[in-house]
Amino acid sequence: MAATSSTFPAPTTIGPEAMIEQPFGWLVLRALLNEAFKSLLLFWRRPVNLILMLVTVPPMYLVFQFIIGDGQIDRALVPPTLLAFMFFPILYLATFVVIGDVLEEINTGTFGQLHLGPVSPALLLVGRLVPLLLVGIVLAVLIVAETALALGVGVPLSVPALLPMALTVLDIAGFALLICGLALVLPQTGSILHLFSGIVFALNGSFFPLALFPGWAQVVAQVLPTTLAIEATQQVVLHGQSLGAVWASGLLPWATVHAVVLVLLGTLAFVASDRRAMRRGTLG
Amino acid sequence: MAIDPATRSGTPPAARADGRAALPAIDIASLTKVYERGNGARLTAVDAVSLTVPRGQVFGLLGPNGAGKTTTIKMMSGLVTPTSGTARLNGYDVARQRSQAVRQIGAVLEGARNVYWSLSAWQNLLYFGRLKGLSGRVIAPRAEWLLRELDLWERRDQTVGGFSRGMQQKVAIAAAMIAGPPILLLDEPTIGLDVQAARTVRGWVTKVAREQGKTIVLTTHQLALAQELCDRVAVIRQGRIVADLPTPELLARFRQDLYEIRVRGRPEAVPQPPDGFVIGTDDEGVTLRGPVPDHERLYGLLEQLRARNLPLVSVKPVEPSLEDVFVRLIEEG
Repeated sequence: MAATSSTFPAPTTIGPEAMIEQPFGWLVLRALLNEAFKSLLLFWRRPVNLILMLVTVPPMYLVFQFIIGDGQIDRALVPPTLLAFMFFPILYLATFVVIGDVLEEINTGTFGQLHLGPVSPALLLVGRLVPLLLVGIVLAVLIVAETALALGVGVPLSVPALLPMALTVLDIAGFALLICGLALVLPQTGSILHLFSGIVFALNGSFFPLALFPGWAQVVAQVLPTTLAIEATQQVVLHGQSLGAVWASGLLPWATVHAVVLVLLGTLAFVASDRRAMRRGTLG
Repeated sequence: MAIDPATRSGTPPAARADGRAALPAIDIASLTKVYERGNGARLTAVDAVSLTVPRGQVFGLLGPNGAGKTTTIKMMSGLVTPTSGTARLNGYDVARQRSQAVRQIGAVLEGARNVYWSLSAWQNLLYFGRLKGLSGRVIAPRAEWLLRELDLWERRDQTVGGFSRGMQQKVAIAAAMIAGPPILLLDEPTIGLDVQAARTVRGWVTKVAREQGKTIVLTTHQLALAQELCDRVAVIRQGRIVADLPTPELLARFRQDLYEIRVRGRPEAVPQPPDGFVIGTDDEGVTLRGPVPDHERLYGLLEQLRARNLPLVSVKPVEPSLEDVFVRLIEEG
């Protein structure tokens, strides 16, 4: 043992009662901030994710547009598609990165340790998700600015558009919760996520405006995460519609319902999967 | 080691105040876990196990691989949902009062890292303290104390991934203890460690047990560790408890019928001994060590040795080790 051990005084206030005396709301808030801080610490340990996205995502978008434009970039398509494509880094961080972390935690046993605190692992997952969503938003803004500058295309700024954009992020959060729930019980979730996120970005207007799709594909697209809220964002930013007008058109209410339902569904799926994993003894 | 005043008695102050002091630290009743596999097969991992562990006791749960030790520990900590039965920690039902129950424990789980290798030791302790609901102000002195005790203070800002396996396990134990839980669940804390690292961890667990008065449930394959540390030992086999006694009592129960017979000669000349016997050789001859339940059988064995012209050096009853007892219990079922 260390030579210093006999001189350093033992702490005096500790133990379960030190926790029980606190209001539960305070416990939850502290746990969320703790999880968010850990999430950022772990994320910054691997800055390669961030650098790769900044370097590879804009060229990827340009290559798609180049192919779609039959050898040239159709500048008219850039604003609507870029507004949709900007959510790709957010979705990537909230799903691929978080799922990778959760699966790693299951393998290393720290996921089991998350269950030994007083706050539900579902809430802790939210704490982990929020900073990555925020990093994703910053990344999205940088990528849009980078791409718009490279193409010399302007994307108008619109404060009211922040509402449908926030709904898009909420939609992504719900989707991430759902996928993380699946990851607890299905080892193949990574492959499912690759497939599903591919479908989402093929149909949510990131490459073609939604109006160019056949009717059945438009119906399918509107059920998928992000499509409705992105459409509402496009209406506000590109067509100058007011939020009231977008609400009256029914687009904004449906986008809201979609986001709220997906968050609820994702939370329920995560809680149910977590319980199932505890029954099966696969929590790690 | 300085003694943590909050846990010295093994009874948390709140527990003393609300009458929980009279309750056992761990009380599990008819705990059963049946795993259902995809092909419809059912595997009973733990079969109606009941145990009561008083506060401050170091309790060893021993058994061969697959006996149900880890599943039992995980059910105690709420990580595995029991098929039936109940587990209570300081009176809190793990299933119904989970939030309070999990605050009573710190756990080091088998075969797992238990801490984040890409974070530093200091960051890990702060994280796990806050996870338990403590503020940084409360955690910091505790974390410093633990890291100094574990001789990790100078390396507190280094990532745990760069530590030796023994140091990593010490961080895992410190993380389990950061909130000062009255109960520690240590599932194979020395597994996979080299001799030096295992000795370090063993020393630390011994100090925690003896000087902090914590209730400890320990599973290990190192029977010498269990014998040295545990006040009481239960042996689990195929999901069932086959023995559960205070360690001295368990050893005494097998003392009478364990004999060591020494003869001169070569081991090939020794006849096939009865079940449970271990044959050893040294420069002076052969040693047979094993259970002899009655004198008739002892005389029979001595007669066989004499018939093979193996000169008898000594016959004496021996103090069994926990390993002897364990082997007997597992073989006898």
